Amino acid sequence: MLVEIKGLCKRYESKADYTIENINIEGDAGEIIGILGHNGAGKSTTIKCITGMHPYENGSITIAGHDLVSDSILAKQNFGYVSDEHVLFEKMTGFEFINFMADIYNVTAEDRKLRVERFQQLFALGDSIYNPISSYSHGMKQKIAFMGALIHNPKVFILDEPMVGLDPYTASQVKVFFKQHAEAGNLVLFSSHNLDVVEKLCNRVYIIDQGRILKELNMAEFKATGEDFEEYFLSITKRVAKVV
Amino acid sequence: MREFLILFKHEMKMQFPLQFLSKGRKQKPDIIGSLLSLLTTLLVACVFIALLSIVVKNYVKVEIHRVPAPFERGLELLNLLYATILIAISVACMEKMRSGLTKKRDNELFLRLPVKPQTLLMSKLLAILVWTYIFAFVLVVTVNVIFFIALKPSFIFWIYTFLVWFLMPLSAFLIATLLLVPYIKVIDFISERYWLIFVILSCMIIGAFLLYSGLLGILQSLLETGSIKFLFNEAFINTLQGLLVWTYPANCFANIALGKNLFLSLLITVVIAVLAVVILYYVSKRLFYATLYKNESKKLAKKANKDYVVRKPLASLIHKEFISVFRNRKHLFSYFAIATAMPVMVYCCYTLFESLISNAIGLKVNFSLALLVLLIFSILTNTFCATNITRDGLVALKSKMFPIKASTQLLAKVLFCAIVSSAAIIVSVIALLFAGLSVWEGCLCGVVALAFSTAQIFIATRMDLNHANVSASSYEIERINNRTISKVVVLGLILALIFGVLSMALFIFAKMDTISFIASLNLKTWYAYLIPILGGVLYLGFALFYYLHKLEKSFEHMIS
Repeated sequence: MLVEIKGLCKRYESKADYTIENINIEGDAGEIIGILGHNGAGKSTTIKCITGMHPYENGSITIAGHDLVSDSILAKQNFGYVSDEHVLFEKMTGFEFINFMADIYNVTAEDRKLRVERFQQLFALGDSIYNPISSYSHGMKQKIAFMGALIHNPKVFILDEPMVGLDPYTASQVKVFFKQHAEAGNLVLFSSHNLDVVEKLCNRVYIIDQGRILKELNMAEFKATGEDFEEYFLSITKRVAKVV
Repeated sequence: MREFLILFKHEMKMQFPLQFLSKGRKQKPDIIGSLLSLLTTLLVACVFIALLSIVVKNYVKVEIHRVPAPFERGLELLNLLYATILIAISVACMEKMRSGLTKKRDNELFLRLPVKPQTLLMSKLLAILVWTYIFAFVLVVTVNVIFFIALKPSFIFWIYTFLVWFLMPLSAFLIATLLLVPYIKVIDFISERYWLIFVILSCMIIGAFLLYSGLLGILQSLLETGSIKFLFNEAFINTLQGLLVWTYPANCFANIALGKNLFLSLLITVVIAVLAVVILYYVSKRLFYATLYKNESKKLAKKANKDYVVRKPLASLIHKEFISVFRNRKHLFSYFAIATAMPVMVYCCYTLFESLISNAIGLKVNFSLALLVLLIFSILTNTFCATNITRDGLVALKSKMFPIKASTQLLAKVLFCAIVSSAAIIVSVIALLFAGLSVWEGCLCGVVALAFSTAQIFIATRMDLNHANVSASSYEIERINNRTISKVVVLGLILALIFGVLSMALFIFAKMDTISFIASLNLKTWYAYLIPILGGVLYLGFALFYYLHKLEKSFEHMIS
């Protein structure tokens, strides 16, 4: 398993109840896994715990066979992460940021050159990567964040709401990239509330609500049932759409 | 009208960001920081007012060919001071207009609302005008109170003062408006040239400090000779008179204040005021509309670095620190420029107090004085390190996912500060050698200062980490930072004073054999060297322990 999460619980200091409770997620090479939920369901908290940004109370997280707490450096070496907030070092140029991330992950000069050229083409970036990040649009920042997270060709690619702010062309390119990355023996794990993206891309989906996983779906099996994904999701989270 | 008042209220809040007056959650006040700021402001203001009072009192008594002319001398000095005030107000006004009128994103936000651009423009200009009037009031009234005490004119002087205060900001507006477009061009030109900004800021700080120490030098001469008439001789006054002819319209304001050529001066200044209002409206309107409706062109960095430079993670983290500080004008000023100016500040303070102390007690306490000055300035420079974590904002949180130990990530920050601080201390020691300190005393001073400075960096970084709340609002982060900075400054200054003064006292007592009690203590001069060295070592040891204690856990639990 590339990602193995068992009994994950997280409680914020300001709150009495757990924000997420008993989360169990597994993901293996070649898979694209979605964590689907409404706003405030606990998707981002789960992702932030997996990436080590938030400490957690109970449970265990293993990435590429390395425990996130006891073997954190090796665990972190094996994933790349793109957040939904696009927080980057604004005073750097896009190119400097990518180089910085490559240094952090000990990527060789040859590898970083090959990958930067590939992503420059994939995201149609051109020479704008030499401009300061502070001058970038939301979508541009998202693209640079993608490049920074992928510069070390991680086994596990983790994303929080990845399609927000991307133009249609880049969004389609990203979807193609997700599939290629998974086919190359890696895992893509992302959170979203966009049902279409999750339905089209994912092999497996974890539906999360109020901090708990309600259902684990194998998408191939689900599609075979002929059920409507949106209706199923709303019924399982008990929020049926009403026209007022 | 309602729209105008709402916008004007918003602009006033922007011009006077008094957060403690705003409604909302009660915050723990930064008492130490507020007291420190108040004390520093009061100290600087008192020194300035005292110096100015002395200069005014002495200058009006100056006689040329043994003829006293207090009114003429007063007029000259008032003219000079008004010219300085006018320049200060004009520059401040120009910067206020530039930042207010050319912030495209803020203005766009308002234009999405049902608000006319003219209303927005007028609200901005009026808020700047109110700010300028308050600024001018503080400066003009301070100067005029000093003159009132020195020259003792009639009550009508205060009516003329009111006229000067009312008209001067409008003249400043005219000067600011005329220079606004070239000023904006210059700012645009240097905005991405960080080396140039660094040089300009450093020169400004050094210049301001040299000016201030020059004034203190005058005070010193006064204390030594009892008079400053040596400075104001005939040649000086003739040169000054020649220059003042060109300080237009400041000379008109000086005339108004002292009732000379009153109607002509009033007429000129009123015409300038009317011109100011008309030109200001048209220039600012054109500028404001041009900013609102122009497309922001994204310029490509002229010398973009396209080389794949491979660095070790630690070196890369230090490089990142350098970029994020060097390419931020606020940080560039508060760290690099201050650190660059530090040797000049140390040199000036040392030379000034060295002669004062040796004249007062008849002893040379060079090592102790150099140490005290060096410690104080290195501690003030290092206050910036109290923002080592929080200045990154949310990115600091993101660094938790890097496959690098927290201790290494924080070491990069400490090393970066230590490099800057050590360079400033080494250059300061060289400056002290030029000021007459012996080589071995200079080296000893440098070693002790390096120990204190490094300890200060460790403590400041850890304190910031302990209180880091990186996802808080920018105001909240600034408030937390200010509290941490205050604590770090107070701790550092107390230690600097203790060791500096103790060393000085030990040196003096060791030389005193006339007082039997002190002589019985049998103090040696080398105690004055040993105590600060021991203090530095102990402080560094304590700081290192404080910094390393549960470091990884503290980083892990950084608040998000």
